Amino acid sequence: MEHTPKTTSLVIETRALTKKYKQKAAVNHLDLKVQESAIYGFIGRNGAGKSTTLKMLCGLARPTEGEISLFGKQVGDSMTARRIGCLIESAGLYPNMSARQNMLMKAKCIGMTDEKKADELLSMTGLSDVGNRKTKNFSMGMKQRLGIAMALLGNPDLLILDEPINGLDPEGVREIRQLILKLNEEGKTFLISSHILGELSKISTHYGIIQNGCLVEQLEREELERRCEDYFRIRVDDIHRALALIQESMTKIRVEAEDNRTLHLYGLQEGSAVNQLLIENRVQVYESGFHHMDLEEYFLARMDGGQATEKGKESKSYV
Amino acid sequence: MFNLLRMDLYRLKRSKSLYIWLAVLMAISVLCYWMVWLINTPEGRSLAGKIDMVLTEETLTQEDLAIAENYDLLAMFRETGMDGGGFTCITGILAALFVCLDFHSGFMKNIMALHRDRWKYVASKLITAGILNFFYLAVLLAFGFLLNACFGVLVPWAGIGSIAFYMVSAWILSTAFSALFILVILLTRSSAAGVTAALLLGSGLVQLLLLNITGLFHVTKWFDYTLYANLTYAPTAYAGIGDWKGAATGLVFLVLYSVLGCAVLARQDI
Repeated sequence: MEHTPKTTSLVIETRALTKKYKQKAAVNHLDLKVQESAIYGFIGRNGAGKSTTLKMLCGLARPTEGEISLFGKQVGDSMTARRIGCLIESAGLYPNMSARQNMLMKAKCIGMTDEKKADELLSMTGLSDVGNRKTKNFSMGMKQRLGIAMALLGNPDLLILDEPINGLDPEGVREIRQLILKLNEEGKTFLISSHILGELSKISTHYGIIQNGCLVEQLEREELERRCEDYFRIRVDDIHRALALIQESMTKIRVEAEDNRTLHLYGLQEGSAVNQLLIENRVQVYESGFHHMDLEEYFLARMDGGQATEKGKESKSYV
Repeated sequence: MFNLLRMDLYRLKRSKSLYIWLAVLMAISVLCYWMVWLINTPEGRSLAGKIDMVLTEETLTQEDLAIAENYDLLAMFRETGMDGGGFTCITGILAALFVCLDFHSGFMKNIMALHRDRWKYVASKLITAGILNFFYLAVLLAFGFLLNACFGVLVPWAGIGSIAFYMVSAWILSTAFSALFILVILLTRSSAAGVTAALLLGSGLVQLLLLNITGLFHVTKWFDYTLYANLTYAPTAYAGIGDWKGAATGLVFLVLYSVLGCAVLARQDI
């Protein structure tokens, strides 16, 4: 693992967390670290082990091996459980009860007696108008909103949300994003898994990438931005000559080699000067252009075997 | 656990099936009283003749009349569903579906994320089933009193001691039955399995079938220690300490099924 978040105020910490179904490990020695007040985007393909991990954190699945520490305490502590709100896979709702009744059910489950809080949360998630409608008539998006409202009951410090924006319309996505950011400003910590990486990248402060049950990378937003920063990609016939020319003429440019023909130039504002320099010095340029990676691209590159910006680790870097 | 119980009772109160099944049991009570009225009273027999039910004194055997005349309020109450297993089938189906919906709806995740001691869940469901059974027994008994009064004291009132003794035994045994069906749901998470178990075990079909099979080998004593036999053949009046055998059997099974339920749930992922 290249980057490890600071160990201060860890809300979630897992050590060698493993879950096996028969002999197959769905989650394999996972060391997850989520800091207080972070919005942690948990990314992985279908079947990578995201939901299983989240279920173990919520106490819905028993780890085969390893430890889970929540707010510095071992998982299983009932007071700690009350500090967590979760929405795993789908909002668990009784279909023949109204949204408000479902909220009250969860409130009773927690031990809350104040019904106003349920109404406030329905209003906050935009469901106050349909609070008395049975949830069996709800759309997927409405169910997700209600699931989020239910997760917020009891004012938890940590929210574990598995695909929270599934089925939401663009307006709903924006509202939920704003709600998450607002709650995060109040100090709440989020662990969110989502396939909608574009959305996740708008709010996440930290990322964790899971593949085949293993956490392949954990990084902060700044680190991701650094790795995804704009670079000028140039493909040439003689990389050694090109590298020497660039380093001689452009001292402030950071250069990385992708392979034996391709260079990445970081910190470059304009690419024509590089092209001109190389052509004038008889280095053949096959292709060139500016490139920027978004989270999705980074994730896909990472899933394809740790290429792309993992070049920071794997490729040679020249400054 | 009490938070879970509050939640369960809130849901139970709002469940339509609670009232529908109660109405079914009440309708069976009305039917039973009406039938006894037809047999036992001159007005009834006359009406039966008029509506071509051919229930005249000539068609009724002496045995029929003797049975009808020996009925008291408690016997009538037992006849309305307790002895044949109708009551346990209905409360069993209710308990099974009640628990199964937690799994099917996914609300179980909300519960288990908050209450990580799984025995609390099982305990809350068993207490809810106990409350449900008590409610049904009390309402049906009260309804029996009302019907008897409405039909002009059709059968003699039973002694309060006999009623209390029988009701305690019936309550424990029916709650033990509910615990069994809850265990089936926890094992299978299938409403079909729960309902089938309630119908086959609650009605005594499986027990009687096994009794016939084991009877071929003269092994029948076990049947006396089944929930079904103790409920169906429970003594109507308390005569001695041995009459508590039914309640004791019910308690043993209740504890057994509860412990098994906790063990099953503790080993499962949600």
